[in-house]
Amino acid sequence: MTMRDELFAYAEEIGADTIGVCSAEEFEAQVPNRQKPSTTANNMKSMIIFARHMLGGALTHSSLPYQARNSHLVAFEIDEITDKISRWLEDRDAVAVPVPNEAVFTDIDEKPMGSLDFKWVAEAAGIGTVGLDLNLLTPDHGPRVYLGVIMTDAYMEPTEPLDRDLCPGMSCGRCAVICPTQAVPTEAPLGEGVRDYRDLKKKSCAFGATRIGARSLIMNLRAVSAATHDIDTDAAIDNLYLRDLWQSLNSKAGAFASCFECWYVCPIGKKDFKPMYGAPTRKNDLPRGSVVHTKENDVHRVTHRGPPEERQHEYERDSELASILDIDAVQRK
Amino acid sequence: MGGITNIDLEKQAIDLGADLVGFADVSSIYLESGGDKVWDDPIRLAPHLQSMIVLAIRLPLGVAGAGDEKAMQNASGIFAARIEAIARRLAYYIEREGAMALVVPGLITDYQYSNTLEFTPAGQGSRLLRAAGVAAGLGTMGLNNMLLTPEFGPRIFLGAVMTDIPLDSSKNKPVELCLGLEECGRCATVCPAQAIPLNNPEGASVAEIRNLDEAACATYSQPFGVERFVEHLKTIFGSESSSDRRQLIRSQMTAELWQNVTVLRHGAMTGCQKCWLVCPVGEDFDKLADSPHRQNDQVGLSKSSPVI
Repeated sequence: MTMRDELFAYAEEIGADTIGVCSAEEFEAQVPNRQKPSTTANNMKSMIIFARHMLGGALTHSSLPYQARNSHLVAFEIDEITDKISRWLEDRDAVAVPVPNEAVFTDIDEKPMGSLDFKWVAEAAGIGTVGLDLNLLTPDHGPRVYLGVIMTDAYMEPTEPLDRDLCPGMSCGRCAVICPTQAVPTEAPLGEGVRDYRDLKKKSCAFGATRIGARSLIMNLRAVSAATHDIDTDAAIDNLYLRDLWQSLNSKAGAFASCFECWYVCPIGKKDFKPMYGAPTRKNDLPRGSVVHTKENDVHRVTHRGPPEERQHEYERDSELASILDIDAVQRK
Repeated sequence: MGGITNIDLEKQAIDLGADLVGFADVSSIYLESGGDKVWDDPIRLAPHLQSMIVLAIRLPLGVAGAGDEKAMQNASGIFAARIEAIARRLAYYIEREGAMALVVPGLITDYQYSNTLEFTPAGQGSRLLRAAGVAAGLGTMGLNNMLLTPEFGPRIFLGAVMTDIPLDSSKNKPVELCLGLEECGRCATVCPAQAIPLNNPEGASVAEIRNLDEAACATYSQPFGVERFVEHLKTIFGSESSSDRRQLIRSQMTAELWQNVTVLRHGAMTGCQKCWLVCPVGEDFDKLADSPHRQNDQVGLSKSSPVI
C-alpha cells in the first residue's frame, strides 16, 4: 500500500467525502497570478485536497441564519480534518502546511483573495470539475461542498483529472436562472463546451454571498457618507441591519458563504441532489417550466428569473441603510 | 436511512461528549413552545425534518463555582460552542448513515422576527432549544424559563440536531422540578436585574407564574452584547462635542464590546449565571454549594438556607 493509499483510507475514516492529490510544481506553472503554492510555502511537492459536504438538512431548512451558521460549521469540519491529515503526515516525517480555507489576504493581488484558489486545485486533482458558475462540482455532492488543502514535501502520485465535465453548461443553466444577483452567464455560443464560457461576476456574487459582510457594509457606509441631507443617526444605528452586522461579526453568519441559491438547484450530486430536491422546502425554487431555453443566431440563452420572491430581499442588504434613511443607495457596479 | 436507532444516536452523542441526550418529535416541541412564540418553528421551516435530538453539556463545577464573573463568562461561551461542535459531529454521523441532518444553532437569531433576548437567561440556549429540552424529557422549565434537569439543574448548555429519521420520543419525562416561589424563590432573590417574579398568588403553580423580564436579564447576561453595542454607538454619535466622542470611543466600553463580539463570541450571551448558581435542583448542587468561592454569597447555598 502506498503512502497515498494509506492517507486516502485515513481521510475517509475521519470524514473527507472525497480526496485527491495534485502536483505543486505543475500547478505552480499554470497559475497566472500570485495564487500559487509558493505564495504559501516553497519547495512543496504535493497538494492534498479534500471536500466535505454541507449538511443536506441545512440546505433544505428555510431559515437563512440557520443555513449561514451551518455553512460555517463545515469550515470547522474542514479545519479538523486538515489538522488531522497534517499531523498524520508529520508523524511520517513529512512537512505539512495547511492552507487557510476561509481567510483572504490583501497582499496577493489588487483585490483581497485567498492565497490559493482551491477549486482549480480540485479540478487538477480530479475530485471534480469547475462548472458554469465557477463552483467546483463533485460527483457525489455537486457543488455543495467546501474544500481543504494541505501542502506537503512528501511526493505522492497525483490523481488524474476527470475525463469529462460534470457540468452540462447552458443546456442546464439552472444556476444562471436562479442567481439573485445575475452573476452567472446566461448565454453561450452554441456548440461550445462549458470550459469555454464558464464564468462568474465575482462582485455581483459577493452582493449575495456576503450579504451582511464587508461589501454591503462598505456600500451602506458610502451611501451614508454621500447623503445630501442630515442623517437621523439614531435611525442609522438602531435598526435590523446593524444588529445583523453585529451577529455576522460575532458568529460569521451572513458575513460570507451565505447564499446557496445555485447550490439548491444544481442537479449534479449522486448522493444528495435527489433527497434535497424531494424536500418540501425546495419545491418552489425552480418550478416546472421556469427554466426557459432559447437557441437563435448561434447563441444558447436561458432566461434569468431569480430566486422566489420571498427570498429576494435577503440579497439587497447593500441598500438597506439607504432605504431606512431615505437616501440614495450606492449603485452596484 | 441505515436503520439508525435512538440507542445508536444516544451512544454516539455520549461518546462525542454530550452529558444528556433526549429525543423529541418536532410536533411535540411546537406544542411545548406555544407555536407562535418561536420564529424558528421547525414545522414551518423544515417539515420533513421530523425529529430533534436534544443535547446538553454541563457547566463544570469548577467554572460554576468560580468567583470571577469574567472567567465564568468566557468559560461558559466555550461550553456553549462545544455543544454545538458535538451536535455538528453527530449530524455528520447521521448523514454518513444516509439520512438528512442539520445543526440547530444555539445562539443565532433572525432579527427580522426575534432578537438576542430569546437567549436569556444565561445563554443556556434559544427558546426553541429549551422547549425542545422539555419535549425530549431532559427536564422541566423553571420559574425564570430556564430548563432544569435532574442531574445538573439549570447548569447546562443546549444543542440539537434535526433529522428526517423517525425516532421514538423520549418516554420518561421528569415531573415538575422547580420548587417555585413559595418553596424556594432563590433565583428571584439573587437576580441582580430583578427579572424574575418576586410575588405570586398564594398556591399558584410554577406554570402559572413562570416568567422572565428578558430585557432586564439581558442587561446582566449580555452585558456587552448587541443592544449595548447599539446604545454605545448612539451615545457616541449623539454626543455634543468631538472631545466627548473621542473619550467614548477610547473608553473601556468600546474595548469590552470589541472583546465580546470577536473573542468571547458565544460568551457574549453568558455574562450572568447567578440564577444557575443558587438553584438547588440537580444532583450536582451539593458539591457546588461546597465550593469555597461561594461561601460568602448573600443567598445561602445549602438547601436548608433560608431565602432572604
